[in-house]
Amino acid sequence: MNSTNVTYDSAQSENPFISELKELFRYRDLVHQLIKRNIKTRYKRSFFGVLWTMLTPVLMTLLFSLIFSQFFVSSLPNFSIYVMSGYICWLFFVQTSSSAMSEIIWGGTLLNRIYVPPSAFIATALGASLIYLGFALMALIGLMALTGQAFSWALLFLPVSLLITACFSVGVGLLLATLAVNFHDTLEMWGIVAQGLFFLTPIFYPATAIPNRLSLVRLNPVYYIIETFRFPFYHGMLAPKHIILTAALSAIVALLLGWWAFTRKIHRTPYLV
Amino acid sequence: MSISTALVAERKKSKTVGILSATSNVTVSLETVVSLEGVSVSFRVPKEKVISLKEYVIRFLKGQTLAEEFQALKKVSIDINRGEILGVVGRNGAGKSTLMKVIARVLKPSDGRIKTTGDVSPLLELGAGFHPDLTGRENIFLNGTLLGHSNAKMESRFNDIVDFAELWDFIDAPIRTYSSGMVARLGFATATAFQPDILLLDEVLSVGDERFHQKCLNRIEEFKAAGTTFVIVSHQSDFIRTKCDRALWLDRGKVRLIGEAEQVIEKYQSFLYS
Repeated sequence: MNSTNVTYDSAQSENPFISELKELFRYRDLVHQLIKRNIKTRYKRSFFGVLWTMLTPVLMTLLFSLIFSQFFVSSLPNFSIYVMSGYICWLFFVQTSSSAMSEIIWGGTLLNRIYVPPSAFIATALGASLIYLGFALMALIGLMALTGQAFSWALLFLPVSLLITACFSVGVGLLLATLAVNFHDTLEMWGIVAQGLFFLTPIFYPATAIPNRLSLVRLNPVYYIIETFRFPFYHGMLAPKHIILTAALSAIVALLLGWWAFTRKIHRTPYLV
Repeated sequence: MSISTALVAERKKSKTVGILSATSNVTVSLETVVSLEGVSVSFRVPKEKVISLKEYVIRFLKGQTLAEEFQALKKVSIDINRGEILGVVGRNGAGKSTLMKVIARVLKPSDGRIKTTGDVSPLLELGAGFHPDLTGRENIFLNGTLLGHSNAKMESRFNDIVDFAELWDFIDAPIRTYSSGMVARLGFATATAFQPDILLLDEVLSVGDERFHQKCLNRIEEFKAAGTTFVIVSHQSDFIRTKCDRALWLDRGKVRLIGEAEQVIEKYQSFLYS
């Protein structure tokens, strides 16, 4: 056998950390198709369809405003912008991490029959969530115009804060997906953990509302991610440096750890299913 | 056993002839495109299906072993040559599908080595890789990219795929409205839109009506003429006997016999019905 022609050799094991990246790039058109599938099938047979990606954050904001705005009216003027800018960031995080799990489980039956880089399913979760976030951002901008919220130059920071949020969400999604293929319980468990995290994160209340004895809440990386994202929208300026740095560091750690665990463990999947 | 060694000897002889002919500049007929060297695949089979974390932790703490090893393939060594059709036979659980998965890169051998030359295209089971709520058109692109093709490549062959599947009337309907025969036609047409170097067929050829079945066989003949290598798992002995050059008989993960299709099938059948 002419060794120069060999396209696959099981004895040559590349580092999966690197090779998975290459393979993901090679299958980028698959990711494109899977994102289309995700969007088309998610809202099939619903009247408002993809409009729900705008309606959900708007209605949730309305709900939180009705219930909570009177409590925080002194510390948080224009409460609806405060809630919505935090909530869409949160929604993006939860959507990405949860659909990373559901996508990899859906893909599991395929991975068992055909070679596909498993990370394609995680990339799909990210891509679809980004598109949903795009719609939600449009709704947010509409609400800002409606409520007379000022648009600041700090909004130009959005690509960076988005990148931080995306890296963090994908990192958590990769870790969860790695767990979920081995234990389907992870899906249910994450639902509960995420709910708890939602209440522990200042999304619909100000960070100052957290009593000092609960300062442990400050260890929650999602808090830094959301503050980094929200500041330009609500305060019209960049978040304090230590918040942005903590957010960026959490994102990098989550992504590297997630990618490492995922590429190392996911190939065991066919043995288990 | 003596027969298998005889066949191996014969194969070696024919291989030498192939090499000789290659040196004398005649078309190379015996270039190995798939080579397995002592490939073993072990599965960890749960003793009982443990799927919840709680159970896992309890068992782990009790020190119970959760799984036992099961060898689906045991030191399988075969060379498959360019342009040949290799039929794989064996009883249920003999390791046929595992062998296909090893060739398709889905499973990594636990031991041994596999090398392939060229792109390997597995023909998926009926409907795998399709989404019921997407239209035929969308599914062609989804399925094609799953097989590693680009959107542009799929675009270029789109008309031919629909022509072959004869589904122009339904191409924009969701495939949950298709009959199973229609899904099979679309699947075969998409998977064979491009001529692969190595095509893997695992019990998928008994699909569609008689006329479409013949169309599939014709396409396989075309591919064969153009140099595609086939590995076909089938329980239809007649198919293996008439269409395959060589046959491989797997028995409990081991190669029981490999050689000329007719002879292997004969031995296999006399073993089955003895």
